[in-house]
Amino acid sequence: MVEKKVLFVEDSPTMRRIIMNSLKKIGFTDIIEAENGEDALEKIEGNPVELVLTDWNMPEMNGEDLVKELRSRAEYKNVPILMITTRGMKEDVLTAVQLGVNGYIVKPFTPEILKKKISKVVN
Amino acid sequence: MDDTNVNMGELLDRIKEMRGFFQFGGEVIPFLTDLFEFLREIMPLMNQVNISLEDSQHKLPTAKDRIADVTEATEMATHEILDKLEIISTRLGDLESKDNKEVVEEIQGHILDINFALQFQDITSQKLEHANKILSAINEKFQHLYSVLEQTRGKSSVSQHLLSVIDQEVDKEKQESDRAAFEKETEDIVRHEQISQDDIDDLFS
Repeated sequence: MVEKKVLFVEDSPTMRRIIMNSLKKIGFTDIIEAENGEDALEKIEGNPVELVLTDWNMPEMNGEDLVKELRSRAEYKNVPILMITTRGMKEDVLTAVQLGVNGYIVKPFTPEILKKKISKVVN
Repeated sequence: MDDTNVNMGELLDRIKEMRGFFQFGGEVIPFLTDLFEFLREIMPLMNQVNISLEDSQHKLPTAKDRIADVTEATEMATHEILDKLEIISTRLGDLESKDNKEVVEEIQGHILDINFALQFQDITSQKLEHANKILSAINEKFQHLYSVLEQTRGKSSVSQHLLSVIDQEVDKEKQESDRAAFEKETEDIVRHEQISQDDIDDLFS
């Protein structure tokens, strides 16, 4: 699992550091960090990833649009996507499911939940 | 004879019209009296609303700035804590040996928990940002309402006269005390142009 190349998209510098620290603790070494959907798409151009962790509410391009864009690309049809967000309404989760997201974490969460969810979507 | 009949007919029609007009007037006048009485009572209140809108307009941008300041300050403080946690975690890793492996792992676990507890900063920032958006929307509405009221004031000579009468009737003293109370209630207790510690020390020397 930890050999996979990860794309991690989050606009909050605080959350980026927290989750990056955690991903490194889990054992991931190949991580692409992006501040929003647009930034993410630029960074993965010619540099495909095998796991995507993304926030929902972000400026420029939000997580919803990023997932739509990724799922429209043949090479990202089956790449696991985990959404990490403060949006905890049932409708939001249903929207995420419809978009093709594989896992959903509502902030705040614990390191154990992050590890468990990543493991679940990867496997 | 015919001419006289026609003229009498016309005259009777006119009299009928006039009677109708006076009847209408008789019905409308009490309504107009009530309306003027209502305006006399409501206009000082509207005047007060106008003053409150004006005061609020000055305060809302300050409130928005303070919210932004809080977000910035908490973000900075959180990153300072994260810096220290990363240093502790790295140093702890260097100190790890066969004998203390279990203890070091336990402490690393606690460090990770502190790391995750700092999510509060992002979550509260998002809530504050939402509150800020609401304040912006309210500010916009207030500005619109204030400009509409300003435009309406004294547009016609009747309203100008009415306003001048109302202005004379408004309790200026109460208005001033209300304004002072509003200022006190919304006073910014965190001064942003604080005196430096050196200047304080100078004052004591």
